[in-house]
Amino acid sequence: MARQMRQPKDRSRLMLAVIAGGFALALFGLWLRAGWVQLVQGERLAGLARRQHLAAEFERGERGVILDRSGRVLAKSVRFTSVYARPVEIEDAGRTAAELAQVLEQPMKPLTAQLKSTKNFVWIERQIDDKAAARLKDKDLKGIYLTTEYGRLYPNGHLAGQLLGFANIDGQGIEGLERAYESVLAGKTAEFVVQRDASGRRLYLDAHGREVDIDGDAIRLTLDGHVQDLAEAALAEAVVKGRARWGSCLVVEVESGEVLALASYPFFNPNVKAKVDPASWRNRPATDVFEPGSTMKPFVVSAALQEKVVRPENVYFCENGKWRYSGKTIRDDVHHYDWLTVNKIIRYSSNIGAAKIGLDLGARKYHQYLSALGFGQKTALDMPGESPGFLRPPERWYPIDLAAASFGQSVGVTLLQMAEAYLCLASDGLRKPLRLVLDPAPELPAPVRVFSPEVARTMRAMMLEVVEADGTGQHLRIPGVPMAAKTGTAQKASPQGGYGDKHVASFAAFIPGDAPKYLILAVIDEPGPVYYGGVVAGPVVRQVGVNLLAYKGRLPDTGLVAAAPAPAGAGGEGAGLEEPVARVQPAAVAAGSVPDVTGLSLRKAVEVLAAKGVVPRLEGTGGLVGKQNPAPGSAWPAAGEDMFTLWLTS
Amino acid sequence: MTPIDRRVFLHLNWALIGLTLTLFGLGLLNLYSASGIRIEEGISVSSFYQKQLVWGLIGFCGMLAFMLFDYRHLKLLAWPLFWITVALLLVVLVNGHIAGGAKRWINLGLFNFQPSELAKISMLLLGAKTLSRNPGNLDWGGLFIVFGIGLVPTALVIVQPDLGSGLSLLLLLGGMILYRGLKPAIIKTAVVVLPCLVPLGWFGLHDYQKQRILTFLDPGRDPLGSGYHIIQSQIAIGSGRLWGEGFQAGSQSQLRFLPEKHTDFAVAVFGEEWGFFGMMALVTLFCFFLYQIHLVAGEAKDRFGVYLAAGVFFYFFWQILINVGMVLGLMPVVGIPLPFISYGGSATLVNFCLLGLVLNVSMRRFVFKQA
Repeated sequence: MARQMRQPKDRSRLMLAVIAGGFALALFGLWLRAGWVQLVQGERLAGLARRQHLAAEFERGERGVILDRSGRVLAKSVRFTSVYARPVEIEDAGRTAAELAQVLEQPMKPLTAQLKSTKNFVWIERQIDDKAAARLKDKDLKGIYLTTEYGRLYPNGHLAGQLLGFANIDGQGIEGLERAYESVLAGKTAEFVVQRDASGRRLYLDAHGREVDIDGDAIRLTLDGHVQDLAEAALAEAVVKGRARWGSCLVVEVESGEVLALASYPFFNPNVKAKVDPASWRNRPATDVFEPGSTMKPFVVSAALQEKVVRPENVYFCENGKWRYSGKTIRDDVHHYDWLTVNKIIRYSSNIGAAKIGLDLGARKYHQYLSALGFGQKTALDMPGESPGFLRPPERWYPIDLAAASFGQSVGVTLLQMAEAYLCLASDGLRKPLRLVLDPAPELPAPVRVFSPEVARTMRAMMLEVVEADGTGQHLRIPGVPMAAKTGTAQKASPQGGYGDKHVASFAAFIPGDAPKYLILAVIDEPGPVYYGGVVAGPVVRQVGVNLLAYKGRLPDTGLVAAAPAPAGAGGEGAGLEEPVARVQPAAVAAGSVPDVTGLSLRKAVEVLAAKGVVPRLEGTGGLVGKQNPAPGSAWPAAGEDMFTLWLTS
Repeated sequence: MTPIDRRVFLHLNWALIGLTLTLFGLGLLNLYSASGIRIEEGISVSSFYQKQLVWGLIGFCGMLAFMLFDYRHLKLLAWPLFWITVALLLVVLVNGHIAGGAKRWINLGLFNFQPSELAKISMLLLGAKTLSRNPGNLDWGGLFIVFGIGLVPTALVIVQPDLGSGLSLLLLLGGMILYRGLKPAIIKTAVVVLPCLVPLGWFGLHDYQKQRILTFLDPGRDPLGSGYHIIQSQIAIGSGRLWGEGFQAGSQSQLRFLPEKHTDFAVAVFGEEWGFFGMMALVTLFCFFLYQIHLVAGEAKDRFGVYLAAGVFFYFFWQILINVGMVLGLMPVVGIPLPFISYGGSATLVNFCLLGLVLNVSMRRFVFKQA
């Protein structure tokens, strides 16, 4: 028994040793393999892991707002949801396309094609409405992502539309200030590293990483929304009545050089840029060059006075309205004069007189003064598309060019250049840059003296006679407030060469004329049949001047306020700021009843109303319209009574 | 039943119990981490680890129960248990609860019972009983008897289909046979015949099983399909590198790239979070664990005890080798869990019960001397 017991025991001892050795070897194999995978291959495999766990994602900051000087919003960004796809992650393109087509109400075919592409990223639809966004989020389709973008909204419609310009769907400024101040306004793009799980869901590694400030900065303009509104209203009336092509108007505060209004008509509403002629978004005061005509005369005379070539009491023979010089005939249009003193050459705007003063001054000197005043160069505002105007070097002036340049032909200027040159006269001969932006404060060139204070004052006194004496602008007097001004009626060069029968009417004025506080300019292109600067452009300046004075509380009580469409509450500085800035074009208000815009996104609602010619007033913050007044279905508010209010919710 | 001899408790194999509990604890900890997934804010942990803990407690009771009686009485139970097992497997085949495309469970209301787990115990008992009848190398006759017994439940398990469990049964039995030893003639024949059987076996496999083997040979042939498991588990383990990414910091599992991370691939989570260092420790623990069982087999005082312990040794050994090998990319993907580390109620219960048997053999090794 003992033997029998022992034998299996010995055998099993041996067996056990063999098995223990063999199996220890097998487990040692596991060790080795683990070392190979984790130590040798570890870095490579960890790299593979990172590649499938981590993804870079971007988020764009909100574009800065554009405000007027009192903080009224002229342009702001609104949040939208956009859909994009990463086609490489999509397994069933057909099914995904069907789901998308249903939610986004898009045709299937192009969607399927997009989803089947080999790209890493394709936009499916930009700026979808919130309902569709919510539905897509619920569906949680693989490879389909929602992202936040910002659309640009201009709550005041066409107000200062050309000046503001617009931004494209990617939030880049394309025109106007939106473009000029791109670096300030643009929201920066932040890149985040996100974790991605096996089903492609993105998880943020670090919630704090998303809080970095990537929003763009605001800019605050010198523009006063209310003055802009006044200018636009007056301009629109004049251009329509004068049957002109277009017109621009500029209001500048003399002391600071700050532009209070910069208007152009026809208007441009940046909210509905898709449907309009690109020409309508030109910021004409900066981009369009015109031969100014007589509004140039104060500069040739001032230069001659400064150079002591003439004195105010000198007289010139004005050839009874028709002077043959250097093979051409120079005419004085309306009235014909024989002998005129220098001040009367300005008062009656004699071309022949101005030409003779210019000839006495000489091309080199005149050019020197024109350059010093900023003609032939872009202004410091450096607006997109701004033109330097057209000023030939004096060596290339023929004698007739000098004569013509003296009464504002054969030189090309922009309205901004004219404004800076007149601002110099208003500031006692000190040339100051125009200013359009308050914050961030721009770097402006230092003021340069061009004329002595005496010369500037003398010139202003002459310009005072244009209105206050029997000059070309005598019909434009504002009771109680003297105005110094200069009219301009230029012939337009015809494409065939020479001058045709088209005209540019312009008008520049200081208010009050004896101690200028405001500079107002207007230019009207191709009015007809009446085309005189004093008749077509002058009333714009006068109407703006009257309303501006009333708004600033500077209009003496002469009964004019009641007559003029002055703003309500124009009791003093800053009063009336709660008024809606944008004036609706009343004629454009559609017939029928008010549509229901509640529940729509702010942008959609504004677009619906803009299509009807109505720009609503906005109350509260948020991207959705919660309530509207007038109620849906009621009649449109009467023209002028443009109180369409939207209450916003988020 | 003989009354319990008090002395047996003096001979409890504390080392084996300690190792078992350590492994189970590690498994629980790992399961807690593997149950977590990254969500928007933080980590959401599902309740697998709690269930596993409950099963572990039940298993521990089972283990104690299997220690209370003298294991030699089990010889009497071997045949009845075998027939019960076969009957239950037939019930499953006809009227089983289907989950994941396979009929493996009998629905008992509160929980699902897996007869294939019971088959492991009955196979162990009957195998040990049959093999311990005679000493010496096994001849052809003996081999056919043992295989004949083993083939019935194995075939029933494989058709469920549950290749993993079927394979475990075969390996358990095969290990015991190997332990007993074969006549040289049989070994010589096997060396010639077995390689010829391999191609035949290929045709017997399901398509998905063939896929797995092809994929094992070249995981890149279908990285998002059948190669996905192998590639992702390699990435997980590899990313652990030397020291691992830390507890609950394994991104492969947290971000749900790793499939079956509670069950068959649980050790990949462990490897990712604890690195090469952790894998070393785990494999070493398993080595000690197996060595303890191996010692029990060596010291058992009767052949039945020897084969019981040897069977359990092989049962665990093959599972460890196959599971860890699979996760490390050394073997094709087979559904074999890692004892104590993978989640699984029935498996945990059976593991503890089998250990109870080993401890039973171990603590009664001195009782015999006097007997």
